[in-house]
Amino acid sequence: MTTPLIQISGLEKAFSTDESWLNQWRLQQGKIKRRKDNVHALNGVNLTINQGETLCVVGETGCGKSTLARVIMGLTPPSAGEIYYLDQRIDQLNDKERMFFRRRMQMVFQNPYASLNPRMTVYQTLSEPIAFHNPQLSRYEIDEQIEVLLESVGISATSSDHYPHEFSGGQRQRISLARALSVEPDFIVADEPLSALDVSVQAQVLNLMMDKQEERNLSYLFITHDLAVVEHFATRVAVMYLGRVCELASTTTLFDYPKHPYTQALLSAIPRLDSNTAQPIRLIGEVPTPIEKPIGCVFQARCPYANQRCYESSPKMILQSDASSVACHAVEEGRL
Amino acid sequence: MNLLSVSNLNVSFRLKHQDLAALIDISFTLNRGERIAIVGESGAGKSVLGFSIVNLIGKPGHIESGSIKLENKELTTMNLRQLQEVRGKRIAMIFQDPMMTLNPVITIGDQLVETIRSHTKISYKDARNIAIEKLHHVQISSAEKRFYQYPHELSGGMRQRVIIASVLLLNPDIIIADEPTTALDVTIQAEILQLLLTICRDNGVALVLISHDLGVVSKVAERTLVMYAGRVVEEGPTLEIINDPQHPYTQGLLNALPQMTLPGQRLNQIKGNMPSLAERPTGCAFHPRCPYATPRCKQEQPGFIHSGESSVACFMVEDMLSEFADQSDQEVNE
Amino acid sequence: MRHLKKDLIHPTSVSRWSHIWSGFIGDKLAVLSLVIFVFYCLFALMAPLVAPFDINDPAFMDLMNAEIAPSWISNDSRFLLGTDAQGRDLLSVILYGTRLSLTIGVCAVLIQATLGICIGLVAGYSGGRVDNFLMRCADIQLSFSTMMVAIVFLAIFQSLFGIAMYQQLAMIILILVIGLTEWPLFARTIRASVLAEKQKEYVDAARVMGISSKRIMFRHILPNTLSPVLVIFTVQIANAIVAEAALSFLGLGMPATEPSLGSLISAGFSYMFAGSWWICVIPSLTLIVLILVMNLLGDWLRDHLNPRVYKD
Repeated sequence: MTTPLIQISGLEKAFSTDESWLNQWRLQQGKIKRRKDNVHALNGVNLTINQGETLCVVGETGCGKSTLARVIMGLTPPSAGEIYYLDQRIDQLNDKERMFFRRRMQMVFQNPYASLNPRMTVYQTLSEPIAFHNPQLSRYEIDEQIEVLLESVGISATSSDHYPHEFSGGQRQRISLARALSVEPDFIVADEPLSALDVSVQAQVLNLMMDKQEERNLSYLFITHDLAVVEHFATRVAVMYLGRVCELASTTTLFDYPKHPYTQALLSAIPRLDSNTAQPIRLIGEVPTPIEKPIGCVFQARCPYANQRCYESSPKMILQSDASSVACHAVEEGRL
Repeated sequence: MNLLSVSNLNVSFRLKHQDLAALIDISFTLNRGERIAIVGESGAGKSVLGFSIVNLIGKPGHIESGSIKLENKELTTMNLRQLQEVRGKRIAMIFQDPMMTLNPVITIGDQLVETIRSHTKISYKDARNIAIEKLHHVQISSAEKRFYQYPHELSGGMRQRVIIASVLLLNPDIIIADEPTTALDVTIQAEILQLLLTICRDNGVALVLISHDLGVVSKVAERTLVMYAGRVVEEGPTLEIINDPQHPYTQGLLNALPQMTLPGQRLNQIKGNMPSLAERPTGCAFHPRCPYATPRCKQEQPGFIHSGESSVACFMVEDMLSEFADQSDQEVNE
Repeated sequence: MRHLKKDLIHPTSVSRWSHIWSGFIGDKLAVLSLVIFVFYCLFALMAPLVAPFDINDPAFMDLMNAEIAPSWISNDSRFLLGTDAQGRDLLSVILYGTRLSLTIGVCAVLIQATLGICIGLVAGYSGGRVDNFLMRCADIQLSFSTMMVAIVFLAIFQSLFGIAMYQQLAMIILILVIGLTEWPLFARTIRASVLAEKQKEYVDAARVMGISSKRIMFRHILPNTLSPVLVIFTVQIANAIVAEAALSFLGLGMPATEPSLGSLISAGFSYMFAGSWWICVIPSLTLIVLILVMNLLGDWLRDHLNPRVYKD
């Protein structure tokens, strides 16, 4: 088997909630102690991304999917765990050592209105990374590259002197993609790139992303909450809940035979056009904030099948007969 | 008699140099207990329509002409006091962001009690009981505890439930919900939609749902209006619009959904973007993006024609229908 | 795949500056303020050319001409605005004084802005302990009022190096004192905008590209935080001119031989009730109009550079 492009193992990230150092001192049983409250955004995530595939990460607000993207891109340091890019560990590198991987891994952001610098023209936005990573290029060669790049994402090269506010949301997202492609990466993390766009424009951007994947053999880590897009676009899907991956399967398997109770609830909740879909499975309560590192299964509080074991020990990812992996005691025991 | 009837409504934004028409010639009716949806992309004017119904449209917006009648009271000519009466008691609004309506520094209980007591004279204690009952009604767990919490202590879904509870306090006839679930997660969205649906059904409240998501609309609304660039382009029963869209824009919108193409295939995109208010094309506003556009579409605005139970503003549909009618005439003659 | 030429997207051009400009032209008060301000600046710049008398000419000071009322009262056509106690032509002195006041104001604010912008950027972008340290320094600085620091510093300087030395260096010292005491205002404003901008995704995008922090701070974030700075800049120049005038009035500013507007007012004040009101009133009016105009411009800028108006 070939080495996967990206390999993530045991990734954890905890954010401190107390901003002030002074607030961390508490009186506990007559003694003053320093205590930090942490929010555990990632609790041991294991994932691999193969060359040329699209791995979609789905989950609700607060499940840690955006944190995952930021940790992989080195925007936030992980608390524990390892990230490999083709067998080279990248999570502990400093800025200088990371430079090589910056060219290989790029990111497209959620908000097209905030992800382009409003005071830089399209030309400046694109020429900066190109010139930065290819200092040997002459000005003329850079201009030529930008022209090709812009036209390849469907933006007229004559508009390179315009500022971002003169473009619509979909057009800005194309420019964002052009910026990510400008350093010729082979892996792109896309953090909800469609959620701020209208349906008809979503289709344009999604088509463009698929074209680019075909053209350049790109791999995507595509983070979204829109399951319809996932079904269309993903090679494999990872479902996340409270900082853990609870199910990982190929797209068709996941949509046809969802196994984890959370995946089932999630799938049943999509408002579909056809009127004869089943009633959504109601989950009890809302997503809790993971202040304490959870003992047992992360989904226990809302799971209709939870038993004593689910409260005590956390389930491991277990490979199923149809090549999907599920972290659920109920599935393992055949209760489901 | 119709509960609400909007006819030939024109709304424009009066700017320094020009007037921009935001809504053009909008007409529709709403019956008691009916649920309709207004669908469109951002910039189509659907939120402006929602605000215009309660005459809440802020400056520089302005209702140019047309009438909005609630039963037989004309809303466009009402003074502020009469309007406020209507806004709270007869027509209620739910927004995408619950924090637009909730005051962040007052407990949700006090906000609910204040709403009740400003309209009916009862003691705090009675009002509290009514409020808690309504919180139970919208399926908020441990309502007694929530009563004393501040809005920021609740999750987004919970806040939206509180808003629905506060709307219910005054027993309105119409609820206008502007993208009520857009900011919520899928599982929560499903619950809130279900809640809205049952509440409207049980209390006989009419609902105007404003949304960009046809999936959401298909779950809730009986009738749907599709808007494009300030006009209604298609109107009809929701199921008919989804299963048999007539207007090329509606067709394009539905075809662009990922579930309409096989996985891995290119999606059917509509080329171009929705024009901004300032640069609305002449004739049918959709013609630059329409695959069936003819020279006539560039010059004339199509009127509404009936096709089945829907009505559509499109020359292509009009031509097709008249051809069809001619053929059947000929058949009869033969 | 390259797209076909006809499918390529051309943006719709809406220029922000032309929009602001058309708004500006529509606002009569703003236009009037700008016209008056430009008028001030031009006259200050061209003082040696416009002034009817050369201030450095030894013949300029002639006690024979002392305390002549403005021409419309005294009918003395030589001195349009009259003369002061030393017999200097008031118009020329005011022109030179305005020039001096404006120079001190602009230079002092340039120092404030440079210091404040750098400190604010570093504090906001680095966050954590660096931020805490720099902002506490700003708090300490702010807790001493500018006037207090200036008075103490200038008094010590005068007694250490003597009046003669002080009169030579007065301008530079004034600029430095006013410049160094008010940087926290800029630092705080910049820091607040940097904190907001830092959250935006374009900063992350630049970091993902591997661009250095220094470049991100100055090339990416700084241009997006400049609108509030522009507003404070205008208002602070007005404040600096007032501070200089106040110090001069207290006798700690510009010497009488090189009068700024403040020292003119101060010198004229003693003649106020002796009948020669114009020596004090005319420079005061000049100062008041200048400050008013600058504050009006600052207010207008604040209202119109407000990013909410240009929310895309």
